[in-house]
Amino acid sequence: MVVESDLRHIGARRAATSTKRFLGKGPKFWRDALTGWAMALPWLIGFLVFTAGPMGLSFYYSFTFFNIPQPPRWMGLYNYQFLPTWVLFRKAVYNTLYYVALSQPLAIVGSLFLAVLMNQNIPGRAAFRTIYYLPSVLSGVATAMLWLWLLNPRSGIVNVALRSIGLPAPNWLFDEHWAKPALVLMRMWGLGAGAVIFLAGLQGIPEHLHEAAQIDGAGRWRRFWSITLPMLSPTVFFQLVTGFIGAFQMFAPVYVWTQVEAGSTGTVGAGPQNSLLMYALLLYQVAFGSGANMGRASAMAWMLFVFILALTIIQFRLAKFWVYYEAGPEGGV
Amino acid sequence: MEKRMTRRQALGAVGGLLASAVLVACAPGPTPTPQVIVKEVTKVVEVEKEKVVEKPVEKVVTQVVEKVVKETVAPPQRTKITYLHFHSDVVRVGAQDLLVGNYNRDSLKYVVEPVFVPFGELTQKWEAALASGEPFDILLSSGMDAGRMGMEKKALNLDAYWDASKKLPPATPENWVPYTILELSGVVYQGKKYGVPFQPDTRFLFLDVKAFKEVGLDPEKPPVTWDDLWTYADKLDKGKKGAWQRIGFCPVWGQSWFWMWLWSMGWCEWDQQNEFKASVMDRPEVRECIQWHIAWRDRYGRDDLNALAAGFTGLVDAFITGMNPILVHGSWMPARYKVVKPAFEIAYAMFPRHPGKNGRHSSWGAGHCMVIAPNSKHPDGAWDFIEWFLSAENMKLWCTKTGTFVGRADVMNDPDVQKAHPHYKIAFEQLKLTNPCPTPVPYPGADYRGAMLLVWDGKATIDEALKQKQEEANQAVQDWIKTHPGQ
Repeated sequence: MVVESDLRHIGARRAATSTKRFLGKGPKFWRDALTGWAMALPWLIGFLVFTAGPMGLSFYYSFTFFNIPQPPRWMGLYNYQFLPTWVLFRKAVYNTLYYVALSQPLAIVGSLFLAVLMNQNIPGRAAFRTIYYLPSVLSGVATAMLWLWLLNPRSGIVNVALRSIGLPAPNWLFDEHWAKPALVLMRMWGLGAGAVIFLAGLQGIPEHLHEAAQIDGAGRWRRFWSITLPMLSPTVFFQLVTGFIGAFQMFAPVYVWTQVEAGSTGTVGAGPQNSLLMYALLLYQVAFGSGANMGRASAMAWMLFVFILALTIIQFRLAKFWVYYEAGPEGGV
Repeated sequence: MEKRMTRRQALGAVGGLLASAVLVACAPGPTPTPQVIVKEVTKVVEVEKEKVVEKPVEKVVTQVVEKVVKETVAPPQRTKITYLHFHSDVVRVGAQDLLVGNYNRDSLKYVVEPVFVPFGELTQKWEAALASGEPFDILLSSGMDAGRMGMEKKALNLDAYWDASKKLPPATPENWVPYTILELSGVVYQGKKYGVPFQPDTRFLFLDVKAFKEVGLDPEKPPVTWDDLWTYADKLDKGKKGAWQRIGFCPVWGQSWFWMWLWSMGWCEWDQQNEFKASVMDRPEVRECIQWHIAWRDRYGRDDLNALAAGFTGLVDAFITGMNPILVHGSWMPARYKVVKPAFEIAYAMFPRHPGKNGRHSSWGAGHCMVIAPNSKHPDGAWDFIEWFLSAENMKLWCTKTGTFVGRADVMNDPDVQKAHPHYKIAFEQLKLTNPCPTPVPYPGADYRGAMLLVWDGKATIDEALKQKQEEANQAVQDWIKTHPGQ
């Protein structure tokens, strides 16, 4: 029977051994270690100065009232208490969750569908791939301006097409109920980037798995459901995690649209009844708008960070139930 | 071997000498002095005279002198002053470039570099630069912001400069146009001046003369009251719901803001000293004003108005396209319309008043002022430019070129300036009845317009909208008190 003192003794002996082993390394080990650290140093300095440092500062600012260039003033938890009671904050949270909930599943399914189509052996396949990927290389501002015209209620091509087939033509960005669906529609236009990643995943699936299933009498749908999808699950998982992170930070199009809207109709805010007030846009307005408060904006940033982090951890926890790694989850054998 | 090396060396030496000679010949001489410039100019003028006899020689001289001076006066000898502005329209940018060019030509100590930023990003850029310790020297700010900026230490106290100035008139009523005196309160915080008013503005009615004549209306007899707008619109409307070809009048288009209509009923939440009266939203005036807006919505249909508004961007607005023959717009627009559509005939009228006994032709104005960064490295240079830019001579030129107002009374009272643009007569009268909305008030304003829009969009009844916006205003006030202790 092992008693507590024995355990303590074993532990102390192991620690002494490993320290001795570590200190006993030859000059080559230390030279290599130094070289390694020297190679990593530029990145480390960059990380500490440009990422970890500002993050730490913004965490401190989130407990202050900070109107640049005046020094920050300590407010304790006030920003974190105020935000959930603020009507604009609640509106921004609702709009962002609505957008993420609607756009993310559509983006995953849509880009997978597109990738499957582009994976078919048809003439002009490379041209199709280029065409679908093209919107992804355009800047966010250019895309937003383009869609502003496409969605123009009177002369936009979308409504012209809808009217030509006898469907009602919404006011899109000028209607509270259609503004967010318009944003989702615009995201669907940029599915090419996600489709290219799915395409790479599709092409990585060994052909012999399909052949074996075909010999066993599996049809197209069965093979897709039982082979393609499980083999693609790591790609789906990647798209899901990065897609969620990106969607929660939606900014450029709503910023551009609300700027143009303010100029053309004399309205202010973010779309009709603030229907386009996304979380990141409100954060920007709080930081730099009238009565700018960098402290409250920092609190908003940290709340978003914690929420996204929690969501990502949940996604990783759930992944073990549906993501299939052929080589094991750690990439080992 | 030894002999060959020597020959190579000799050839190298000759080559090096030749190269040096070429380089020396091509090298620039000492920095040109003004005397050298004059000599060069004379030569060019003579050639021009020979070539083009009928061409006015004076003009050629001026052009050449400007060009040569800009290119040859070495910038390091002068201090650079950065000027952050948001002018992007062709009319004002042209006038501004001309004035800045003149200053840079004449100033011996400073050279001004204008930096454009869209209006929506102006505050962000200014504050980021302040925080970085490398600020812009001058900001063309919203006229109502300077006092608040002073309170927040984002603008320099200009008292010492202004009080000692021999070029700028003192900040007293006789020296500044009536509205600007109110605006001066906007640039003042706790008795200290943080900005100099540059171009105040106001809003009034623009009338499409052709459309008026087409339906038998006399543009010389414009709508005077709210009721007149309704009856004039009866005649001017063209089309029907779902297919409007012309909207007689819409109170939410152009530069028409809810609080202007509220003020035209004879009520204002700011008194003449710009002291903020506690904002109670549920007032009879607010209710009537919302109901009046909703009547217009029901007349044309909300979706119809939204769809039409979506087609207008920037200068291509409802008015210039003939879609909206009565529009509330700003004093800066006539000159721009003239550039876009020179033959478009426009008449002007005062902002309509409420038909009740308290009704007045009240309007809203803001305008722009110039401020200096509190941590500017060259405040003297910044003031030198501001003082020069806002001189009577330059402001006359500004009025003539842009059709906007300036704050200086001596300029606006100049008969030549008053005759310069057809809208000045009405606009100047309107300016006397214009209220500013100064921002350095201790509490944030109530969102009257937001309440109206809740009803406009069918989201709430008037009761619900006023209650909701009152709660939001109360919360904003509490937040302000909490975050601004002692102010």
